[in-house]
Amino acid sequence: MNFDSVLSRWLDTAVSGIRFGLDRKEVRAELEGHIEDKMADLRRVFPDIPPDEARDRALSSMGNPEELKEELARVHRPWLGWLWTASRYLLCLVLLVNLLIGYSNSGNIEEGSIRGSTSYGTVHRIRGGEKAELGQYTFQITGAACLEYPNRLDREDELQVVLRASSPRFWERINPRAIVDNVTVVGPDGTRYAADSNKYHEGLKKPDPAVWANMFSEWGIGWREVAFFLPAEGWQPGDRVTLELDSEVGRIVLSTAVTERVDMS
Amino acid sequence: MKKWWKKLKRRLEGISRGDQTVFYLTWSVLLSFGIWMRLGCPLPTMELEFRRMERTRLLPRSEIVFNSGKDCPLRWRELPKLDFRYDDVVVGAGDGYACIYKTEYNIVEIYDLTEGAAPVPMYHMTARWMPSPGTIKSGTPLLFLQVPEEVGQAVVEIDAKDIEGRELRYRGEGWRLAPGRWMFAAAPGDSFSGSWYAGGSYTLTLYRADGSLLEEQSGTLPEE
Repeated sequence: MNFDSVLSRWLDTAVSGIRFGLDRKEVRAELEGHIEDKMADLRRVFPDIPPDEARDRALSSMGNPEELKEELARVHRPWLGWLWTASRYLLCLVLLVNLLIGYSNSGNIEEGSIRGSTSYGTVHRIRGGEKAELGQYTFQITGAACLEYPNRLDREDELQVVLRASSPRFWERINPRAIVDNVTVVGPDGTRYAADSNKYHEGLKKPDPAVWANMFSEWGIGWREVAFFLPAEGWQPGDRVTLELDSEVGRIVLSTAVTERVDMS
Repeated sequence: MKKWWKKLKRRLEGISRGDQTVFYLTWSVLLSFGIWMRLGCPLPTMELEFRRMERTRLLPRSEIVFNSGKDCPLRWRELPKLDFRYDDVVVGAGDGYACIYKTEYNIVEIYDLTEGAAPVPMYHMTARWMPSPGTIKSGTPLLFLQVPEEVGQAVVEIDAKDIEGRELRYRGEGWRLAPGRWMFAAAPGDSFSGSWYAGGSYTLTLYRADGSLLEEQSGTLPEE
C-alpha cells in the first residue's frame, strides 16, 4: 500500500464520525498538518529514517483512528453547523427578497410604505390639539390654518383642519375611509359638512354640502392623518372648527380654534 | 463598500460559529420584519385579516358567517360542488349590517341587512360549480342571510339590466351553507360582468324539506 493511501485511510477513519461536512474537511486538514509536522520532526531528529517508518511512527503517536473518530464525533455536534449554514443561506435569501421588493414598484405603495405623504400633504401644524380615544385609536387635531390663495382665481380661501389617528398596534393603521365616511365637519358659522374624498372629482357622487377630505395626506408607523378643507368665507382668526366622528364603535367630538393665516401664493 | 465588506468578513471570521449564527439570524429577523412591513403587514389567516379590517374601519366585531379560505370555520371547501375561483372572501354579520372582506381588493364593503332573508352581494367575485362531471359553470356569488332554518330548498330569480339596457335574467337553486345561510352563484349566461345583478330585482322562493312552499320574498339587490 502506498504512502498516501495509508495516510488518507487513517484520516478518513478518524474524521468519519463528524457529520457536518465543512467541519470534517477542516479537521481532516488539521490532522494532516499535525501528522506532517510529526513526520518532519522525526526526519529532523533521524535524518536517515525511511518515509514509511516516519509515517507509521507519526500515525501511531496520533493514537487509534477509531477512538479518535468517536472523540471527534462527540465534540463536533452537527446541528450547530447545519444551523450556521442555514442561517447564512437565510440571510442571503432575505437580503435578496429585500432587494427585489425594494426595487419593485408593484403592490400597494401606501400600505407598504412605512412613512409617506401625498402631494397635497402640506399640513400646518398646531400643538396640543384636542384628543380623544375611540376603538383602539387616539384621535387628535394636529393641524389647523386658514389657507389663502391671493394669486389664484381658480381657488378660494379655505380652512384646513387635520385629524390624526394613531395606535400602538402599528400594523393596524386606520383605514382612511373609516374617517372620511364617518366625519362631519362643523364650520365656524355652524354649517355642517359631510366629508368627501371625491369633492373635486367631477361626475362622482358627493354629499351636499361637502368638504374635501384628503384621504392620504400623511401616514407613518401606526398613524395616519386626514386633512379636511372647508370654505373660509367669513372666517375670523380664533373661530372654531369642530370634527364629529360618529362610527359604529362610538362617537367623539374634537374642535380647534383656527388662528393661523397661511399665504399660499 | 468593498473595504467595509472586508472588515465585516474579517470580524465575522474572528468570532465563534455560534456567535456568527446569532448574527445571521438577528439580521434575518430584522430584514424579514422590513419585508413584512413593506408588504403591508400581512397576517397569517383570512380571519385575522378580516378582524383587522373591522378594527381599522371602526366597525364592531361581527360574527363570521362565511369564509371561503382554508381556515374556513364553515368547512365551505368540503361542499363538493361549489368553490370560489380566484380569490377568497370573508363575510361578517353585525347588528343590521353585513361586511364583506375581499382579499384580492383588500377592501371591506358594508351592506345593510333588511328584515327577513337578506341578500349580501359579492360583486366582482367568481364562484364555480360542477353541475355534472366535466362541466364547470361560474357565476357571481350572492349570499342570503337570516333565511328561516326549516328551509330545505331555495330558488332565486334575478332580473337586471346591463349598461346598454339589455335585460338579464337568472333563475337557480342555492347551496345551504349553515342554518339560515344560503349561497347562490348567479350567471345570466355565459358572459356577464362581475356586478351584473347590482340594483336588480330578486324573488327568493323558499321551500320546506318536504317540497312545500314556505315563503316567497321579493326585493331589490343593493347597488355596488
